[in-house]
Amino acid sequence: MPKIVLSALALLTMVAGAESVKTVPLPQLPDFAEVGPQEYRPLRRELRAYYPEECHERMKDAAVSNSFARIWNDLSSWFAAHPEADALDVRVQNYRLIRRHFHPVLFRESPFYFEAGAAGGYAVRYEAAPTPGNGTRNLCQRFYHDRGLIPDEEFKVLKERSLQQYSYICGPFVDQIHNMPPFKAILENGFGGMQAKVQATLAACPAWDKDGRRYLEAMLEGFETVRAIQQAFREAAEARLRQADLSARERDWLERIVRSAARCPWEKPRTFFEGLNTLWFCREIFGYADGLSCFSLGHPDAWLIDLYRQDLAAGVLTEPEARDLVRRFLIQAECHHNGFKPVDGSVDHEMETPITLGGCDAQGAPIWNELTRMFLEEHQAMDVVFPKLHMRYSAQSPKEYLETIARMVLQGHCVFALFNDDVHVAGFLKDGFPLARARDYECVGCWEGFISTASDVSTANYTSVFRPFVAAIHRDEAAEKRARVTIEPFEGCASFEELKRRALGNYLRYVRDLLSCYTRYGRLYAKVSPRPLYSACLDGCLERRRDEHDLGLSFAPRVLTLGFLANTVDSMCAIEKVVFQDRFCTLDEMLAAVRANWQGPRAQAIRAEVLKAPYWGDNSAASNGLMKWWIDAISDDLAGLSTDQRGPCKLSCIIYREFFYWGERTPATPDGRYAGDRFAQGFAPSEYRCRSAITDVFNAIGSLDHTRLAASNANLMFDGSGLTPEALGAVFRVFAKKGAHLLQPNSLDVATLLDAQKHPERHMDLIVKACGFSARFVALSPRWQQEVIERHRLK
Amino acid sequence: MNITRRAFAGAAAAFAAAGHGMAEGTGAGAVSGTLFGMEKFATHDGPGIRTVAFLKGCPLRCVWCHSPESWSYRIEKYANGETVGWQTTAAEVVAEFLKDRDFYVESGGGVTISGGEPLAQAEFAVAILRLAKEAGLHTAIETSGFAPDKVIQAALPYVDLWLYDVKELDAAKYLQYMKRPIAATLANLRTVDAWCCAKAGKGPPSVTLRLPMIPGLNDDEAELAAIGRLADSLASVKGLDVEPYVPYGVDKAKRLGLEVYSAPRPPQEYGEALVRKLAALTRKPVRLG
Repeated sequence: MPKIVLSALALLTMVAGAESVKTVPLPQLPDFAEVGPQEYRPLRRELRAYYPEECHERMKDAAVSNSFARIWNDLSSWFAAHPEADALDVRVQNYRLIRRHFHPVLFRESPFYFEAGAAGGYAVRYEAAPTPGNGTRNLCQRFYHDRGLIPDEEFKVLKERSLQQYSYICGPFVDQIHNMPPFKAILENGFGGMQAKVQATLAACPAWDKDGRRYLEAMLEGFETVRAIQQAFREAAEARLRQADLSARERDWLERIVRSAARCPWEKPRTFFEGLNTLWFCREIFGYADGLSCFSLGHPDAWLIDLYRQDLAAGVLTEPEARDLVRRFLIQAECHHNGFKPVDGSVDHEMETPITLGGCDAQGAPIWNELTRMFLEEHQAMDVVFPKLHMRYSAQSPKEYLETIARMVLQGHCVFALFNDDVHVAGFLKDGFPLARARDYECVGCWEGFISTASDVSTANYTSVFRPFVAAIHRDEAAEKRARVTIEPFEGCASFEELKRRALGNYLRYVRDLLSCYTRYGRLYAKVSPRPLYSACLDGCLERRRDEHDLGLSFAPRVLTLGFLANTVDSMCAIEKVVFQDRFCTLDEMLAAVRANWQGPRAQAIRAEVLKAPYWGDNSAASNGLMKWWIDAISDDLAGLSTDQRGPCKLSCIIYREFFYWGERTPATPDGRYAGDRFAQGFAPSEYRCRSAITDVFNAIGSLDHTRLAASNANLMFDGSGLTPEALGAVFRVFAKKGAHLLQPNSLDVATLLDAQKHPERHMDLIVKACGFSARFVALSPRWQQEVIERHRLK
Repeated sequence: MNITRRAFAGAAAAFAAAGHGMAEGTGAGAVSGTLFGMEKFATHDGPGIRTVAFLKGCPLRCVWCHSPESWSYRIEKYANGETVGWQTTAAEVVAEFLKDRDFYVESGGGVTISGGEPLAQAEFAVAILRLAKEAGLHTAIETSGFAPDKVIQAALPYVDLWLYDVKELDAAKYLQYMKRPIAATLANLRTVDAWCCAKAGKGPPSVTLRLPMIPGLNDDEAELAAIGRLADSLASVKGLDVEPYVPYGVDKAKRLGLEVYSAPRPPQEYGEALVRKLAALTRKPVRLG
C-alpha cells in the first residue's frame, strides 16, 4: 500500500520511509510517451501532456486546476461563514460547488468520457486546491481538535508509532486512501437506479429519524452531482463537435459520447463501450466527489462479457474495434504517471489501480473468455505496466490460462498478482456471504480480495510483529514511552518458552492498545469526511441511513497485517538453536553480539552459528512450527474482538515497501541481519538467509492454515532459466493447492537482470514485480534493482 | 539447489507417516548409500519439475567431468573443510522426494537419480528407484551405462526414463577419455532398449540419449554420424540432448587435489550448430539440453 502525507494536520504525517531516500545515479531513459506501438503514441503523448509525473500531483491542465481552486475557495469561504456547520453540511455544500464549477476533460485520442482531474481521488497532496471531494475532509479534520473528538495526544502517539516503525495506517485511525468503487451497484442499476433506492428509503424513513433523513438527503445531493457531471461531459462533447478541426474518427467518438452521456452511467451501460467507460467513470467520479482513493478498475472479463458478445452479435462492434477500445482503456492507466521516473523513496509507483481478470463465475465455471485473452494480449502488446493485472485462479483453472500468464512472466512482463480463489472464496463463505457472491469477488489495491459493494477497503492497519521483538533487544525507554508501548526485555529469560511468552506479550499489548484506539476513534471519520454518495452504494448504509464509517456497513472487517513474521521466526529459531539447544553462547552473549551489529570475533562466531539455524522457508519443523504458533496465538487472542465498525478483526500477512525502508532503519537482529539490511516480504523467506528451493518455500507456506488469515502474499522471485510456461503454470497450480492467498511471481534469470543494469536501452520493456507494485526494471533505483536481483537467487 | 544432510532429519519417519509402510531398518528403505547432492525444482534432468538425487562414486574418469567431487565413494572434504557427501538411506531419500509430490503431479515431473554413476551404488540406486516407483512417482536415471548386466536388469522395472550418456562411440577414444572400455556401456544400452521396446505402447519407459559435447574432443563429423546411426537403431530412443561442455568441474577438482580438462565454455552458437548437424543425421528429435 502506498504512503500518504496529510499536510492539513502535520501531526498526522505518516512516514513510511521517505526521509531515508538517498540520491542515487540512474540511467538516462527516454520520454515515457515515446514507447509502445507507434499507432498509440499520439494517445500517450496527449495523456502525458495532461497527467503529472506522479499520480498524486496536480494535473498539468490549467482549466482543471482553476476548477479545483474555485471549488476549494468557495467551499473555504462558505465554511468560514458557517462555523456551526458539521461535516455533512460541508459535504452537501461541496457537492453543490462541484456542480457549479465542474470542468470535464475530453481527450482527442481517447474515446472515453470520465476525466475530471482527480486521478481516482488520490490527488490529495496539494492543499491549496485539493481534489474537490477532499475539500470536506481538509476543512473538517480540525473538528478532531476543535470539537474535542480525539485528544491531540492520540495523534502524537499515532505519529510516533509510525516513526518508530511499529505500525502505520494510511490516515488517522482510518485508511483514507484505499477504496473500492461500487462497480456492481452502478453496472446493474446505474446511478439513477441507486438514486431511486435512496428516494424510496427517504420516503419510508420515519420523521423522528432526523439524522437519518438528513443523511439520505445528502446522498441525493451526491447523485444530483453525478448527473450534472455526466451532463457536463455531454455538453463538452457537443461543444467540441462544433469545432472545425475534427477528424472523422474524433467526430465519431464525440457523437458517441453525446449519445451515451445522454443516459449512461445514470442508466446502466448497454454497450461494451459504455461498460468500459462506466468502469473509468466510477473510478474517477467517486474519487472526485467523495474524496475516495479508488483502487480498482473492476473485473471486465466477468462483468462486460455479455455486453461484448451482444454488441458483436448485433453488428455494432467488431473485434478489432473492441481491441482498440481495450488498448486505449489500458494506456489511459499507464500514462497516469511517468513510468520512467526513477523509482525510489517516496515515488508512488503503484497508484494506478488494478483490474481483475479470470476467476470463476457464480456457478463456479472458470472465466477464461475472449475478453480475458484480449486484455492479457493487449496489456503486453501495448507494453504497459499499469493497470496492474490481478489474476484470479485456482488449482482447477484451465491449463491454457495459467500457461498464458506464465509465458508472459517468463518473457519479462511480470505485472501479475495471482489470487487463489480456493482460499478467498472459502474465506468469504466463512464471513457469511452466499456462494454466488463469494465467487464474484474482486481484487483491489495491492493484494486485497473484496466483494463489490459489500465492504470498503479502508480498514487495513500495518503492524510490525518484529518491531516489539527488536525493541526487547535494543531498548529505548524514552522512545517506548513516546509510542506508548510496554516492552518486557529478553534479558533473564531462562528458557526459550519464556522468551516466546515475552515476545508474544510485547506484540499483543501493543496491538490491543492500537486496536482500542481504532475502536474509539475510527468511526469519528464520519464526522470529518462523510461519504453519502459512496455509502449509498454500499450494503447496509442505505437501510441504516448511516455513513459507511458510522456503523452503516453490513460487513466491516478491520484487517490487521502482521509485518515481518519471517524475520521474527528466523530470529527466534536462531536463539532457540544457538542459545537454548546447542548452548553455543548465553542469551546475554547473543544479545550483546546483536547490539554490536555482529562486530568482533565472538559476535562473528555467534553469527556463523545463527546462519546454520533453521529459518522460515526451509520447511523445517522448527520454523514452520514457530510461524504457525505466531499466527495461532495472535488469532486466538484477537478472536471475537469487535472493532469500531462492529466487524471482525481479521489478520493478514502482507507488507508493502516497508520491508525495504523499515529494514534500512532497523538495527541488527538475531536472525543474522546487520543493521540496515532489508526485511523479508510477507510469506517470502528472508532473501539473504534463504538457501531453499522454491519447493521448500511453497511447502513451508502450505504447512500453515491460511483460513485463519484474510490475506497473505508471497512475493517470490525465482530463477526462470530453464523454466517453461508449462512448468511455471504448474508452479502456480501448486501454490493454489497449498492454500495460500496470493503469489506475485517474477521468473527471470539473473543474467538478464544484470545485462539490463549494464544496457538499459536493451531492456526498456523488462517489467518486474517489486512488491505491491510492478515497475520497469530500468526505472528502479540501483538499490531496488539489487533487491530484485538478490531475490532471484531462489531456485 | 543442493540440500544438506540436516534436511533429512526425521525423513524416514515422515515417509512412514505418509502411509508407505517403509519403516527404517527393514527392506529396501533401509538400504544405505552416499549422496553428494540433491537438487529440488530441477528442470533439466527429465520432464517437468523434478528432484534429482546425486549418488556419490563413479567408475569412470571422464577427462572433462564437471563433478569430480562425485568420483570417490567416500565422504570427503574440500580444502576449506567443507564436507562433500553424506550417508543416508533409500527411505530417507524417497521421503525427501515425496515432499514435492505436488510439483511432480502438476508439471508431469518426477524424480531422477544421477551421479557420479548412480548404478555404481547398485543396491542403493535400485532401492531408491523401487521405492519411488512404488510411491507412484515418475522415475528417471541419468547413467553412463557402465555397470554389470545384472545391475541393469535389477533397475529396469523401476525406471520410466533412461537418460543415457553417449560420451563417445569410438572404442579407443572412449578408453582414452573415460579410462574404461566402452563394451559394457553399449551392451547395456541394447539391453535397456530391448526392455523398453517390450514395454512399448504404455507410455514409459523410454530412452533419451545425452551427448556431452567437448569442442575438439568428441564432436567430429564421424562421431556425430555414429551417434545418428546409433539413435536410429534404437526404437526406444525418443530424443537426443546435446550438452555442450561446461567447465564447472575445474575449480572443484582443484579444491580436491584432482585435475580435469579445462577449456573455455563454448558459445551458445556451438551447441545450436551441433543440434542442426545432428538433426540431419538422425530421424529422432534433437535439442539443446
